[in-house]
Amino acid sequence: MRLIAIVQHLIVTENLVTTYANISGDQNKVHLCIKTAKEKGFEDRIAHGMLILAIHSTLCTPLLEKGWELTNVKSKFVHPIYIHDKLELTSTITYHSAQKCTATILCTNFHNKTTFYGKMVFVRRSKN
Amino acid sequence: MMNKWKKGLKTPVEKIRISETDVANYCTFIGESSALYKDKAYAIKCGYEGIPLPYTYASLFWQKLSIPWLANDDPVILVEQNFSYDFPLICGITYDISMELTNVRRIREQLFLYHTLTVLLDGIKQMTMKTTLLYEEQPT
Repeated sequence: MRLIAIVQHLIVTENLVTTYANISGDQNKVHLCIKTAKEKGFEDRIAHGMLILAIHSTLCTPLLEKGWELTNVKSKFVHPIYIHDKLELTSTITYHSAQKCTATILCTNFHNKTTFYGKMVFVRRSKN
Repeated sequence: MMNKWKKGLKTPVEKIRISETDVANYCTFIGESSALYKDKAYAIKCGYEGIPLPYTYASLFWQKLSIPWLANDDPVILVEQNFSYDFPLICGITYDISMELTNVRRIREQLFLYHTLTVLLDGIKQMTMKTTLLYEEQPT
């Protein structure tokens, strides 16, 4: 089996986080206010986990265009992502058969620390 | 504090319909450039009934629901986010969505809130999204 990995690099900007706060309605101050974030024990404002997962989701689009349907996604957030963080988003196909395909979800920061990880499951679309 | 949350709490069911423009704007924002999310003819050629929603779009459904047990400024952190799709969600279709607080667990000093968002079409489940939030209680 051949492993295929797709990698994308991203710098988390203030604009990205504030715009997502408006789009999602998640105006929690840990995302928007340095003082509040520090009071909560963070080094700086943290990005919304779903914002970065949404950007990561673009890595799987080529499969969706090639007859695969996404059925399951599991993701676990283990370390805060801060504004100005440089991230590496990776997805690696770990299993592939005629009907099923699985791929990893991985996001690491520039300290090579995993911020979130997970797994995606795809099945071959039925031709109705 | 745990009395605020009770396993089994549910929101009312709301109708939701996402337009092609909504999806196009979301895709622009997340850097998704595929024609799959812009061009209906291409989406149909790829096997969809119309323009599909990116799988993470369902996370925005939270804002469409009034969730009485959770205020917007509550000190919560996302811990886990799972999606399970029986069918892809498609632009222009009206779905029924609702949220349930499926579990509340205290592990040592941490309080975990487990939510399930369900999307139905004509009573048939299309997808569920499970969200685990860590509630950071304020010292008293």
